Amino acid sequence: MKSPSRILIVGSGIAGVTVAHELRRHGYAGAITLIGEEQVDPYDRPPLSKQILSGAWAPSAATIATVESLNDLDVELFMGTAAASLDIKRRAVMLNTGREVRAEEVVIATGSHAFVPPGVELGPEVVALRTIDDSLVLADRLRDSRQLAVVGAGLLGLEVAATAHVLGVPEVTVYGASPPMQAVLGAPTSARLRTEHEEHGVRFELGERVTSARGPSAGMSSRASVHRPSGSVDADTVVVAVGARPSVSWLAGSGLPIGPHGVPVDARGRAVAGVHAAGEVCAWPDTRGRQRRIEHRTTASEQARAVALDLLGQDVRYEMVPFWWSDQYGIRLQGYGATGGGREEHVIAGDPNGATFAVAYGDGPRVSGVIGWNAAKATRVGRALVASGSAWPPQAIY
Amino acid sequence: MTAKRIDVNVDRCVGGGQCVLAAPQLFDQDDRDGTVILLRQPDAADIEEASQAALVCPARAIRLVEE
Repeated sequence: MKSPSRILIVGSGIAGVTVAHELRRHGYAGAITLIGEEQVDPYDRPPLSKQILSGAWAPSAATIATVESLNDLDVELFMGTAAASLDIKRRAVMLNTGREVRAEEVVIATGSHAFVPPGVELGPEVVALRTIDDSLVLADRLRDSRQLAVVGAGLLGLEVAATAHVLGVPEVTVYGASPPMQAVLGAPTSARLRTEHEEHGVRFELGERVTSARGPSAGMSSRASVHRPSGSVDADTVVVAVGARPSVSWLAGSGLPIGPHGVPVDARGRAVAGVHAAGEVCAWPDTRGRQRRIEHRTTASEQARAVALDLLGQDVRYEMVPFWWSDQYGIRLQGYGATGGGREEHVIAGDPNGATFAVAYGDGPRVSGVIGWNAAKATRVGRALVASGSAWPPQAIY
Repeated sequence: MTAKRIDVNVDRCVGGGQCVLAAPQLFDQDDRDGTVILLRQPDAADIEEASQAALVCPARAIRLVEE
């Protein structure tokens, strides 16, 4: 197969940049154009709720690539520029500057954006965390905040809560419709994680949805407020972390099939002829062929690599085994595959009440996922159970 | 072609173990916190897998540098 003469990558997060890096690493000599909405060097997102938020790292420590390093790879850059529309027949992307860019192949890597529920009004006191700028602004606010309300008890909300505690915010409350990370960890490990947070002074208000959140309003309140059916509370800062949605609005009218989980693709990242997608914007098949949109960094880079290889005509299918990790108070949580969600659980290493353990999750006759609590090696070994679809229940690893 | 060597930054490592999956002959993980242990420098035959390990590291704690 002949390599395409020009590849246009829309999105400058880890997925988009990895496609460019992998194309060049594998010897692609054609033209690459990369479009990035933010006017900053491409960066990694996992540190935004950890080392960047805590100040342990300078912002540059999260940089994936610089304008210089991308110039060195002969990548044509449009930073601070958003794609406004796509014409899949002509493989043409209209930019918000009014300019049109055409290519033989287009890679959609526009990622996702924070979901802001109706009733939540973002502002200086009520923030979502998605960009490095969001993280730096929040870090500044937390230095002067006595009370932080975190809306959402998922991975991001819990990391923000843990980091805020480390930064010395005296009162941190997490509002969750469900217990902390229960959808991913299952009930027992979720309860354990809750205890860890509570031992650090973080409080939980669970089982109720937040109906609205807003900043100070004239004559009403001098502080931000969070409202639930059972009542309202004030806080200096509110962080809204209730999930993300694929950034596909620019694809409306393109004729590309778009589902609730973004752009559906096959195991080579193909959407339609001449169009691939990678990262949080797409739904990619896992080892069982279920298309899933995954919001984890490692998965985005693996998908991006598969897209690059497919663009170069290599016959590689990427059978996705999603991987995530989270660091909270020095506890290292990791997971592979599909976990939690009421699935059967089976301890494969350590003691669930001890310092280190790993749990496998079953989907009918097979292992569907594994998580580890300070058990990095056992978790990695457990990945093989997921990848091979081992029979349920699995044997202990240690 | 110039030789390449692996440079690991344990302070950045998040213990994901992706390097061990990519190149088990070159990497292991610490038993306690899972952080990266470099077993040896790559030969010419290992370079592709070493590059793969650097690529998949979610913390960018592994780099291939020109010797």
